[in-house]
Amino acid sequence: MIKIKPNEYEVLRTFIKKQCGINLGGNKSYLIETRLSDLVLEYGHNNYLDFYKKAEKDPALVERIIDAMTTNETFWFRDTLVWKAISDIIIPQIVEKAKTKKKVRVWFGACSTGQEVYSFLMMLNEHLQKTGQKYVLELVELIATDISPSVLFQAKSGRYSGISMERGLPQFFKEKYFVSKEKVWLFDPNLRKRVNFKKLNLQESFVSLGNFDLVFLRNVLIYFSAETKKEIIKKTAARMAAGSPLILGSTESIRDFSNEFSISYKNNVMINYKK
Amino acid sequence: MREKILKELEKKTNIPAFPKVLSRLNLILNDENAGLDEVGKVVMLDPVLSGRVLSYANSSVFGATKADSFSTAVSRLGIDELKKLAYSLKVSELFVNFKDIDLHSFWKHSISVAEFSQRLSKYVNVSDSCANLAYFSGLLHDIGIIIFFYLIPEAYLDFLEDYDGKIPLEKAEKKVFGIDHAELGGIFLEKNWKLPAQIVGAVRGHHLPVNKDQEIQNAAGLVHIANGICRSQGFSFGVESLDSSFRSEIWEMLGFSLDDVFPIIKDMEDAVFKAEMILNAK
Repeated sequence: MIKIKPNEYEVLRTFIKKQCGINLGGNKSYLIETRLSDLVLEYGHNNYLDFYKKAEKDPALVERIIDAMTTNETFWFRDTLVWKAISDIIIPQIVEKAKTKKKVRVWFGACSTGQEVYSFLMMLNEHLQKTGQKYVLELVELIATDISPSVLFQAKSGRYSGISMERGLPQFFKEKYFVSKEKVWLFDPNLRKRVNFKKLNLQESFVSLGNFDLVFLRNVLIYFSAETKKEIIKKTAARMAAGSPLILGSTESIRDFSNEFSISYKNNVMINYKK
Repeated sequence: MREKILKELEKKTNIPAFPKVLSRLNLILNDENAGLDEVGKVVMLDPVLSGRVLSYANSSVFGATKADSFSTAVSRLGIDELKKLAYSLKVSELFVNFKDIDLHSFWKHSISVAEFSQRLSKYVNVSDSCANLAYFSGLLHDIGIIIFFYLIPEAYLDFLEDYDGKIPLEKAEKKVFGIDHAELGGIFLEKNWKLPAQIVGAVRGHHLPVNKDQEIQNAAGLVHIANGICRSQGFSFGVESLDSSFRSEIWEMLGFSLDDVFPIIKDMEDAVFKAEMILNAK
């Protein structure tokens, strides 16, 4: 691993912040060393300064840096407590709203390889089956976005390898919603078709997305600077109707970044409702 | 280690030479006047190969109608297909004495990537010659792995046994040996098999498709995407890494669209089926 010098860290930190909005702060040199060392070597350099100079002139390398700095973590039903709250509180709310409004829209702002949106769909479907309201599924529109076509390809295909099926997916859901085909598992095509996957950079405008009754923005704000975070939450709030919930990662809070949400705690889970 | 490996490559005499029948095929195909008959005659000089071509022309890829003679088989295929088939059949039988990896999976993956790379060309704006180049580069993209086995069999086997898939294979190779299978394969194809610079360039670039020559870059890009999708869908040659997808910037550089996800997957499945048929043609 190539050690980074303080002056190199400063230069790269500023560059990464400018390019992808990720704010590393003053003490994350290990993050750059572990995530970019290989890339520095691959491009034939032995120090970060030369590497940075190369990146300044090479957009493809900038993409590689963004990819390396934002490694995707993908689990089914990531964070049990949050998913319990989604099942007990959010889903019944959204189903009632769908019946009144005749349509609700849900947005997954950093959908990665699709586990989160499909986890939600399975849970929603379970609720609708148990309560005898299957028709409500037709009233729920799901939009899932991410910055990376590579993860969107897999998300949209709904095809998962054996390894990714082991990450947090209970046997019950695996048996009910997936079939195995050769070496992959295929997510239920009728549910899969309900999701509209699109490429979106959270630093761009959200206007074309329309308005939402529920938003998932989990484990992604962590990568952005305070300023960008504020901007993203402001743009998100502008797309949400009053009373609509915003779900963040279990360790994330928007308290310091926005006053457009009221924060509610239930069973140690924080849910932000648009005021 | 890198220098040692490259020196070994110069000395090593037991790595199979480029098959004569394929050299002759290349020669005759350089002659613009050569017709299907002449190309067929070259293939017929290799009885095992021509037998397999006939067997393949009678496989379910072509439906129920029988090709009862070699010349019918050849006309059923056409010049381009015949050349690709000859390469796939011949190259995949060269290394038969090689026992440390599952060669059937290896060549099934390689031929699938070849077929799939070429099929992917229809979704983006690349030339026919680029699509052809993608086939041959796809077929040979992992040849460096076999060369590693020839040059440093024990060290490479130890390496694969320790490899945990947490970083991409080519990065792990570079860390341990100072050279990865893409570069080693490229050097082998250039120095030992004396293949055209375009194939060499696209094989070298299949994990990092950056090349001054646009056609090579596009072909390497097609192989990169085909390889990434095949691996993420479980059609690898046996060595798995967690990071087995493709680079987003290559997908965008080539101009692919997410609207085509399902036709692309269908093409991958067809390519894998065809690869199996080619390998089964005895």
